[in-house]
Amino acid sequence: MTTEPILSVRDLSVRFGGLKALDRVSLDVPRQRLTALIGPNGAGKSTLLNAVSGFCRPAAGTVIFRGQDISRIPPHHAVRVGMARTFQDLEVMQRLTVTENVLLGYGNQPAERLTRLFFTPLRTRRAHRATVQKTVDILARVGLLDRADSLASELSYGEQKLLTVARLLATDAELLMFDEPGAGLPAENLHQIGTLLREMVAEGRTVVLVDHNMDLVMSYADEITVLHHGQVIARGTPQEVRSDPSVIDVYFSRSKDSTAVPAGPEGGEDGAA
Amino acid sequence: MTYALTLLTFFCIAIILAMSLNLVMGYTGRVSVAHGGFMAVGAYGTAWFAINAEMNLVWAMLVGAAVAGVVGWIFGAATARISGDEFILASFALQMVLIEMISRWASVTRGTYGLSGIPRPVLFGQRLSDVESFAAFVVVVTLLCGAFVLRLGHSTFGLALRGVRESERSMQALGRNTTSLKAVAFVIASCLAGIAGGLQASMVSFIHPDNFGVMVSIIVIAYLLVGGLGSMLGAALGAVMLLSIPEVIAATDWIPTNLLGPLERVLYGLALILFVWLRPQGLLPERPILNVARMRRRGLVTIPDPQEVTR
Repeated sequence: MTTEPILSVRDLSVRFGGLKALDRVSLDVPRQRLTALIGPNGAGKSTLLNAVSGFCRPAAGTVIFRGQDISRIPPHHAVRVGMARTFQDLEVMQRLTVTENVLLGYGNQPAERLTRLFFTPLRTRRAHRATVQKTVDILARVGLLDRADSLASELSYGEQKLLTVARLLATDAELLMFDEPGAGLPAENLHQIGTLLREMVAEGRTVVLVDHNMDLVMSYADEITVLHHGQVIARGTPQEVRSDPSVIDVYFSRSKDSTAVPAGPEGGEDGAA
Repeated sequence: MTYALTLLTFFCIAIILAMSLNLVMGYTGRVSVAHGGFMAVGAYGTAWFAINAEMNLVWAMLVGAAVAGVVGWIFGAATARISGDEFILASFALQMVLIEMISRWASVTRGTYGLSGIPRPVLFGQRLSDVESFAAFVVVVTLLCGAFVLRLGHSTFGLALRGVRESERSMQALGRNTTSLKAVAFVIASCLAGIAGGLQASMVSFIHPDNFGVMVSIIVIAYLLVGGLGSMLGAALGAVMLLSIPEVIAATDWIPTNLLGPLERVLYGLALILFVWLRPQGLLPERPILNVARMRRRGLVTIPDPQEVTR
């Protein structure tokens, strides 16, 4: 394991009109760790994810991924350089089956190339079956196998969340970024997703977790970065962050009585993006 | 017999149109009302090369399809970032521009006089002048086009197109260049519409801009809505169904023949309303491309042992 971080964000700023969604944010994501990004609504968490994965253009700053400047790559290049992400609002392909959703996680499939389809049909079919087999294995692993042929729209909200996680397992990206995988889920699903994320880290991937759910973040993250008003206000281990006075001030003071800060699909942050 | 074979060729042309538009409208979910325009480009391209370059119609048709494909590529690239209503309007504008261009560019297309004398193809040294051999040729071309779109539609390529329809953002996040996927689908559809145009030009030997108006585009959309948007066989079935309605009515003498022409569009409209109302998914609804249960029964995939699942 190299000590150099897999992802370094340097002085990244994103503006939506006059609003500074991100203001000179710097962040290092160490390899093979589970780094969590937390902060109140509108803190810029999803914007940071969008800027890193090419879905929104930063006004200033750089994003270095595995030593390569990827600050302004188009979104579909992110997975090629080795990072994949989910979306807060799921973006599951509703009218495709569960298997089809996960299968599309595999890139560079011969069965997707017109030349391969028509000129090497047999080899393409063999490769396709192998990919379907790998997809089925992933479904078994996340516990969606009995829903393999269901349309994604027939799944429960929790199962759809699992599906977005399964889809990223299919990519061979080294850095996986999850935007609120735990929002709106009951405790047992939270545990399942947390366990899956830890397994990915154990397999050698690096995970970035953006979530509101303090249970999930505190019990599964190695490191936490706290964003507030587009700026990093604290970083450290869960224990350190929990006792950081500035974090307590902006974050915990508003909801001391519950462990989960208002979760679920909220408009504020994405509305601007 | 001659009449039945003539009908068969028109059915085939309609099937090619429906299946190709399905690739754009059913798979990528973008409604295009420019299909008649692409058919026109193919028809005029075919006619021009067959008449002026004295090319065999088989090759002229391929050139016509390529011209339609180039127009489709330019339009597809220009409209790659728009969808929904904006795309419908853009395609409508293209339809109007194409037909207007063909009507005005009289030195090449003979404008509103129409273009006549389009030959039949020559195969194995024989000109396919009689209805029988030409119908056979059209059927073969249709089967080839059908096999092509079925192969595309049932592959992971088709799945990726459906993925773009369902969530463009997540397809981008999974590494797909959705702009180029949409453009490729549009170019293929345009080429196939061009082939349909070429076949029609050769069939009736006379073409006029009015043969390819926006009404043609809308009727092709009706084929898809009746047959089942997103299903290739449904598209073909829809074309056959809607084209059969006037024939069946003519055969049964319910409506006097002189009224049948004007009533045709009314009948189409009624059929369309009934279908969208009573069976919105169409006769043969879209089916998933992958079926794990079936692949499992055939032994193509194995279900992993639950204990080994967590590595």
